[in-house]
Amino acid sequence: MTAETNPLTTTLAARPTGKVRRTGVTRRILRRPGAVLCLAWIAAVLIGSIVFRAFDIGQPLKQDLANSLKLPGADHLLGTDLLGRDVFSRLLYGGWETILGAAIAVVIAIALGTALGLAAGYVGGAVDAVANWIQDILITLPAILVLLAVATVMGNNIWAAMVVLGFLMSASFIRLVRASTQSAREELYVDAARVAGLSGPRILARHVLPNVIAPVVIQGSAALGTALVVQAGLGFLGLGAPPPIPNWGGMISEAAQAMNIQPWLLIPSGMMIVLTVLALNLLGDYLRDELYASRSNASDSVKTKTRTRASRVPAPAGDLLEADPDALATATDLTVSFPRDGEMVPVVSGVSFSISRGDIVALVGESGCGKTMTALALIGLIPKPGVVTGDLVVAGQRVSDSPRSFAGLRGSRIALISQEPMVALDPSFTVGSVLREALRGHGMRRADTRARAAELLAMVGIPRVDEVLRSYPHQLSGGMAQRVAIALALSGDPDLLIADEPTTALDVTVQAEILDLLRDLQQRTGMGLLLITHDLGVVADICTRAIVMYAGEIVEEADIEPLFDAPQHPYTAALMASTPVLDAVADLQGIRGIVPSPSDWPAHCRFAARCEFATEACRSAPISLGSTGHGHTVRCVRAAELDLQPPALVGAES
Amino acid sequence: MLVYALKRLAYSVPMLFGVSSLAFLLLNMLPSDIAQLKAGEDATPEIIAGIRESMGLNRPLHERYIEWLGGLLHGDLGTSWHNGQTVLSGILATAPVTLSIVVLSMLLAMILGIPIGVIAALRGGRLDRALVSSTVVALAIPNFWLGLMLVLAFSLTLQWLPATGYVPLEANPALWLRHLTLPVIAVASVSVSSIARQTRSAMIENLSRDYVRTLRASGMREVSVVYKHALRNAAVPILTTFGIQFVNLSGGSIIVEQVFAVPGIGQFTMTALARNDVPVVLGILVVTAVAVVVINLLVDLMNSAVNPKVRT
Amino acid sequence: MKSSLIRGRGLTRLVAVAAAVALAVGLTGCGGGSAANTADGDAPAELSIGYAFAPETFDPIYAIAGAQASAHIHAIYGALIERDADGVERPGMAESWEWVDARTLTFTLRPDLTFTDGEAYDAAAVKKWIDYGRTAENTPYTNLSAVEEVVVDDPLTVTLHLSRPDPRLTKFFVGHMGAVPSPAAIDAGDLGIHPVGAGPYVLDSDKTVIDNTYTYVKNPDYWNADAIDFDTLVIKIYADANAMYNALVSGQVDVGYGNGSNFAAAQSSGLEIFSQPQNANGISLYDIDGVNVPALASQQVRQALNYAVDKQSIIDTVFQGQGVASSLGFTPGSGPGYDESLLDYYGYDPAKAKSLLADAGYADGFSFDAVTLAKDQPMAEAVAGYLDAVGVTMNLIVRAPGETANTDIGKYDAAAAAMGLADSFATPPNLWLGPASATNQRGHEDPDIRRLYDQAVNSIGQEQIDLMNQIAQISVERAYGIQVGYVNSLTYFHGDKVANVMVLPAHGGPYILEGLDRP
Repeated sequence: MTAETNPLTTTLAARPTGKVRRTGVTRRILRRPGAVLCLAWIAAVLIGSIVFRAFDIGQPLKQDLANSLKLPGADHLLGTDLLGRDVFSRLLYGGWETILGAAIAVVIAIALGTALGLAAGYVGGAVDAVANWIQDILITLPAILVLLAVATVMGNNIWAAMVVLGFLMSASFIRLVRASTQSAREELYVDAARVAGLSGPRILARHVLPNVIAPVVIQGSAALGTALVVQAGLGFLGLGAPPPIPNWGGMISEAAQAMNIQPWLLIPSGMMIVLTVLALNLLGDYLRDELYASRSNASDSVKTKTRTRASRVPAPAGDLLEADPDALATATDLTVSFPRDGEMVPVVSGVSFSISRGDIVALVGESGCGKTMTALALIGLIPKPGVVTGDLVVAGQRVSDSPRSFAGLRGSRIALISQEPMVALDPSFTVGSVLREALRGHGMRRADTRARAAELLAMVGIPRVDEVLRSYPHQLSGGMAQRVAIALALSGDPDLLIADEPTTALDVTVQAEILDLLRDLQQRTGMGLLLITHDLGVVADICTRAIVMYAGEIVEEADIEPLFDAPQHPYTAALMASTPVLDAVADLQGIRGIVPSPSDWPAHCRFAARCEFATEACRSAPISLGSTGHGHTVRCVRAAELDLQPPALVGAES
Repeated sequence: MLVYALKRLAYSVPMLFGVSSLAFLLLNMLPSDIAQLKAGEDATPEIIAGIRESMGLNRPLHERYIEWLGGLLHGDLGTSWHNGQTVLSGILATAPVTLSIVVLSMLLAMILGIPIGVIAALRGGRLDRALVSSTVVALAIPNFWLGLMLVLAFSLTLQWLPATGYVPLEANPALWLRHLTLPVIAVASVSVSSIARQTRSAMIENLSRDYVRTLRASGMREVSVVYKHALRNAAVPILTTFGIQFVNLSGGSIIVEQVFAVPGIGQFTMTALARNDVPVVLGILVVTAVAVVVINLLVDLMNSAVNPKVRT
Repeated sequence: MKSSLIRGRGLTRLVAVAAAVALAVGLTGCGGGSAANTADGDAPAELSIGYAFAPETFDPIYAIAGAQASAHIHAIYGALIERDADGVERPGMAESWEWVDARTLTFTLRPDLTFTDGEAYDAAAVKKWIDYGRTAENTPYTNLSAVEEVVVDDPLTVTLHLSRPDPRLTKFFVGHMGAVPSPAAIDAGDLGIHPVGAGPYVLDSDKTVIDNTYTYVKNPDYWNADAIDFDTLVIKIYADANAMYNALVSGQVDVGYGNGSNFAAAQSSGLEIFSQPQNANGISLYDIDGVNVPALASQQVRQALNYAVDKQSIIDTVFQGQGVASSLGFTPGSGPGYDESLLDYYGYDPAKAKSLLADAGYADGFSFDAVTLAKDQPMAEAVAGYLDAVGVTMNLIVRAPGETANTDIGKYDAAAAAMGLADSFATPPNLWLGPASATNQRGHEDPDIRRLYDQAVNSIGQEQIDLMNQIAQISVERAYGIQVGYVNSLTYFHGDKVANVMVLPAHGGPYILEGLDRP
């Protein structure tokens, strides 16, 4: 959202995503040396201009023809121009008019743009249409053309030109404010305010406007830069404040005329504009970075060096798993960390498990417990800037952070379907073309892919195969899209399928179908299935084994029946107690407290704060996983002594 | 798709009408010196009045407006007040020059900007920061000053490239390119940076989306994921930027043509303005508006071709 | 997750292509420039000339005189009467002419002259032209106003009967009035766009782009074709001085105008230079009667303003030494009235300026408005700076960019303007005598100059010279303007393309076509 999108025209990605972190912006900005430099430069130019103009310092207009076109020296910091006038003083003296002109344009642009944008976004309808029409007109003609015409009509009047520039630049603010207003209008609190009887303008002022200020300020900074450049252009062409007041563009023009005698003159006038506009643009960028979380922000604040490759760190005792040659995937001491505020914070810590053929393993836990990250680590799709450490063996191959280590594995040995089917498919390609491309990638000949794609779709239970092959993802329902995603995942005949909350985003009725489908497919192909879910009902329905995670750790792992019959970790039991079941007799029991965020993980039992059975022993040291027999492991020092039979499941289907 | 195009076209008509009318009003409010300019410095007031009359300047505004509008709808843009040639012929003579600059600039923006954006998005880290910084700096440099500096460096000092002039493409393609090198660089620098930034952010946004993860998970080659799928989806905002850049480039060309003495529409406009040649200025405004509308329409059509959600 | 794409083939290919393109552009660049002129006399030769402005019409009765139009008008039509490099009148299309009496002028034409469309260039054609010119509507020229009737005596003799004596008439027939178009072209009514003449060149419309490039092909039937050395003349328009210079240096054009700012560079670049003093530059004071600015009515004040300005420094910086400081309006070479002893009448003396101001009652200074075109701005600013130093504020109003003519300047108190004309006999009536004119916007009439001028016009020889010198003296003393000096008109040309360029004295252009010789 800097000058390149040209505030004279539209902005793209008008509404930045992400939460606005407004508090302490000033402080955070001032911590960044780049931003401080920008602010310092702008302040220096502004203050310098005002002071020089007010006190007529430096005799910028006093000519001295004997010292014409001198290079920088002791008397003249930046040299002299054709009439022997001091360039440095002239730059500052003329700065005031230049900045004032740009400011006028931007103020008008913001005022007009905000007013129209608020009206268009809030009221909508005809007002919106008119605002759109105005906006389109404003961006159709190149600004310079219009301004030159205006200048010719109104005489050589730079202020009139700046007012018109303001009108032209308002177009981008209209769009910006309109988008912000529209999104704010859809917020529930605005509805509530309306119901409560607040009038439109008051709602706008108190609820909408604060959200709009941030993007407007950012855009405004860039707009100032643009206005400066436009003004310089006009000044270069001869349209500027009347002499003898210098203007930056006019000084460039003078420099150009003397180019053959003294080329140096081009430098100070040009650099003044470049540096000032640069400072304004950068300031806008910094503001945007601080107000919204951004990718570059994250990577900038990391002082880490190269990512550590997967290394063989010996797992602590009790967590070591025997390497099972038939295992589809084995994780040993898997840790996934993300940088935050300068350090690496783990979201998954010390996770070890193994999946074999025929297993249907559930990875259970509340949101934020790290189960998705664990699954992504298995297929090597942890998003940057995440770092994976620990030992990972997939389909007999040791894999690491780099995608290359997954060569030949993804799609053909291990596959993934994710939570939201509607966004999981490439919106620009038909289902058929993506399927066929995937099949070709797995070695099939082009001629055979069409038939196989149809087969796959049939396999996942899609009725009108040909129609779906020709469809785009946005034309499918949620359930259909998920089936397509499953078909895509199966296209390579994988041995292990990871399903990340495959039914969460679907209707209840569709959920059951998809689950049935998955179980069906698993039975037919015998592949391993890692099912990630927070829904114990799903776990009970189709899984053979369950791994319970809490705050980045495995807290319990067991086969399904023993787990549901006799959970051994307080968290597992609490989960079960809080799961609604149709015929349940007892009341639901929520778990009090909240899941700790990764930076707040304690160095002992992470569930202790919410556990009704916690003791001093629980809070003294990190707890390791212990085995209680028959493949049942639990991370609790009191596992043996606690009886956690969940009463709510008595009388319900198990 | 045809319906969509027609709808967009229909929407543009009132907008063009608005722009043209506004321009007509604006320019005809000139305290017109044209009669005096034609009469010369020694002319008596009678001669000046006579010229005004013969040019039809004494007729009421609405009458002249209707006449002009009527002519417009027949493709007649009027006649220059200065030398009697038709506005259309003047524009046709100068348009190829400006178009050369604009088209070459857009090509450059595409050829440089898109790869830079993609590389920055993929690579991240220091290269990304370096590229982003370069674009930020490039956006702060006024194009006419850049042009002057280029002339200073490459024409006056190194004498590698000519500082002025234009050679038509059909006369000598190599010279055509040579003479346009510096002006195009000056004009295109902002566009290259804009396209690079837009590409970069669109690619970053797309590469972090779910469908990319799905495609990668299916084992698709990275080249295909990035260039066939992600870039395709990123095309929409990039294409839209192109439309905006066309307007910018047309405006930028006006000043840069002055610096390089290129006889394009920019120079034509400047001389017409200086001579208060209202019909010419009006004609240029209208033609420019039409060109922008056409380009935006093309961009919209391309967008709908690329984005299935729009056309299905 | 580093992408392997960067090291992939895609990027390398891209770089290779880019390098290839750059290489091709660089290599093909050698040898750009205007068409080669061969040194041997038989091969066709082309000459390209750069002017600052384009003609607005090819119709002589509407084309405002000046280098921009006159170059083209003369190329197409020639003239009845020509002038050589010293300004002396000599036969053109007309073999001879005679003032039968003060109100009768007879031309005798050369035999067998034809226009390029085949029409005969005879007395009838001349009559048709003069009748057309006399009655043309809204023409800026009143030069033919004295002509009452044109009579064709025989095919080669035409007589003009005047309603009153007008000795200046022959001068006008050197200029646009003597540019006779073909009668058929006059009838066709589109002379402005499709000119047909009998002059040294013919316009090649196919190779002409209006406002940009005008191509002329030699007319072999021109009466003086032998004196025309170049078969093709290409006139290119460069409004910007830098562009003009760059085009010259890069060889795209053979002859062009220069100015002080590129003079030194031109010298070291190997270009030939032709320079001659042209009109005096300065600030013309309009409000002599002090209607708006009472101070300007005082001769002391006006003199003070002249003492305040360091003319030589302005010549040295703004014009880079290409000029001569002068207090006198008459231009060297313009004729009688140019009195060298008056050049330094006003030296640079700010102290005297201040004391004169104080004597006149303006010890605290005063202010006035002056308008200037963009091209004159540096000079005007320099003058303003000097005036500021003695307490006088000259507010500059700069006209819109690109404006080339000062229109409606009459409403200002003063203007940056040319202070002398190429013809010294035209100078007094334009500058110091009424009625109002471009250079004397309020029509101020100086009675002494009027008296002397009326005498001078009717005198000859030394008496005339003395009278004109007296006028010069008065004009300097009365300080009707703030003079800076004569600025040289500079022409740069490639010595291997053309041997020399010739311009009429006190003129900045156009270049005399017969004077353009092959090297």
